[in-house]
Amino acid sequence: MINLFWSGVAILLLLSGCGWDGTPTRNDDFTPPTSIEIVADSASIAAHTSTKLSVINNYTRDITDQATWSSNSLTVAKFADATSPNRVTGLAPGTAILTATVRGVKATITLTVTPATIDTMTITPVNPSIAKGLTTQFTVIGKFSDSTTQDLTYDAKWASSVSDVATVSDDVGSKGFAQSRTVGATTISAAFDGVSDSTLLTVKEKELQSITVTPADSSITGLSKTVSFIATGRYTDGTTADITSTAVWASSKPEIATITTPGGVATTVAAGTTSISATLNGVIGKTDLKVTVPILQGLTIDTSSQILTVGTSHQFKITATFTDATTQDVTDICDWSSTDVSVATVTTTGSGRGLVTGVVIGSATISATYDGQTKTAIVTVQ
Amino acid sequence: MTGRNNMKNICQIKITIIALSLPLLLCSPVRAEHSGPYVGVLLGGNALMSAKSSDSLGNFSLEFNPALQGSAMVGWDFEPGNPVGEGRVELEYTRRSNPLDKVKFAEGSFNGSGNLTADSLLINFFGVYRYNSILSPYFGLGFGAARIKASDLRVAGYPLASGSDTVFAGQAGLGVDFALTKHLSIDLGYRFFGTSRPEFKEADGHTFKMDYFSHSTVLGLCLGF
Repeated sequence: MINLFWSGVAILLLLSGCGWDGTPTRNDDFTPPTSIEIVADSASIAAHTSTKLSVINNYTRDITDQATWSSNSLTVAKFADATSPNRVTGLAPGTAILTATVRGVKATITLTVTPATIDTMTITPVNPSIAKGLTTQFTVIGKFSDSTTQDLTYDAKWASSVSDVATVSDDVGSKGFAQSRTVGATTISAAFDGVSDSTLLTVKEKELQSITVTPADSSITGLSKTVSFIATGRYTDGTTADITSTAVWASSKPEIATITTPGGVATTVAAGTTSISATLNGVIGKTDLKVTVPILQGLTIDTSSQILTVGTSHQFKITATFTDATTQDVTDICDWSSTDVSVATVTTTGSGRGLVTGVVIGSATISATYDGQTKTAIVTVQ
Repeated sequence: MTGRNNMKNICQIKITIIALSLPLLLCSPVRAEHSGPYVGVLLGGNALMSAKSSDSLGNFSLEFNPALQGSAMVGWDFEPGNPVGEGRVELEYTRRSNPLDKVKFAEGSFNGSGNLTADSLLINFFGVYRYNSILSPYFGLGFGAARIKASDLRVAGYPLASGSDTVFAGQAGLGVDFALTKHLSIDLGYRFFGTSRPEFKEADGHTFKMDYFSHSTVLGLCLGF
């Protein structure tokens, strides 16, 4: 009992510890910032264009989502709708003082709206090509009469000439975002204040994105056993296909398991773990195959005594029983011997191992050894 | 620094308990073998461990100041030589209420206020080592439930969380009984108390779960009948 008591003391001291001493990952949203600062993509914009503002607190953390915005001159600059509350649009040349408020803490910035007019626009990327099912984001940069440039992705009007091939979003929050639909080509255009630019978007055939090999992380017991793997390809358009027959199969450790190409049939060779991979068009899918070898429990022999006449033979049979309850005929892989080959011989090589032939009258003990265990039988020659 | 000092204090408390218990085990032999029903009260100091608190935005830490705790229990002492073992089983009610000291976010540490109170009801099973002495060391475990209440928890004066939650609770305890008479004994003990993670609603609408583990030293009286 006293041992139990002191064991309890020890366990308590070991387990109880002194509390969590980790590094906090959560930001403080409970206390108001002591100060905030407005960060603008551009403090000077052309009339009829917009720019995005953000707010950082005294810990330089972006807390834009907590801010409310106002402009002191709604004829010069005003904030956009609720979907993009931190975007301000220049309405007419002049200056406006913009204010951000976070939990009673305010910061201001002066925005200058210039009378510059748009000269040219340039869409990027130029003439892109994407596989069916994929997306791409377009942006457009405008060059103005005062030689300044501005990102007009938000302010431009976007369109696709063949929307069956690909669509491009003109919605606030996703402007310029293109989604491919079918193979083909479409012209993507962006227009602003009477100026536009366009580029050709080509949608190619779907491409293989990933390969899944099943069964995943399988385990098999025994040597010379086979496992059929299946490779399933996933394509850019979301479809899947069985690519078992077209994939190139490989085993990272062929000394543990080999695998056929085509087919994906693995054969166990030795205990261990190997990585099985299927490769197609540069895309690789992998899984592990664990091979375990059962432990020999015992050997049985078909008969422990055999009577032969001179010149006749008997084929002995040795069966091995393993820890996983499986059995295997190991006659042909046993080491055979006879205590007196002048009385009875036994075949020790080739496929006829275990064949005992009487030579002269007498008796001999026949032994079969496999994996460290030996089974014997007495042969009497009459 | 305050958190580290608290941890040091907690560890020192544990070491002190063990150190105090050792010489008491060597006291003069006066055998105490009460059996049957008993009632008892315990008073003690409670140190709530620094608590990892988690919500969908990340982890933060709550650190509490030590506080007093009180317990009342009713139980049964098995008679010495009982074939099921020597010991006792009891129903224990305990209240612990710790003031929030610090709240640690990614930005740093802030002062806290408010209280976290745990009312627990446990069934304790203690094995008692009785030998020819007034001292009987014991060790055991208890299981039950606890209602944990966050009362106006604040960080830097701003609301953090309020509310209550009922959770599974358990404790491990050890100590020494000093037999004053056959029916009256003093209990000096240590308890490690913990619960499954209670959940509270934050002032900004999120919910968070927190750890609740505490170390306690207790001193009390048990009256047997």
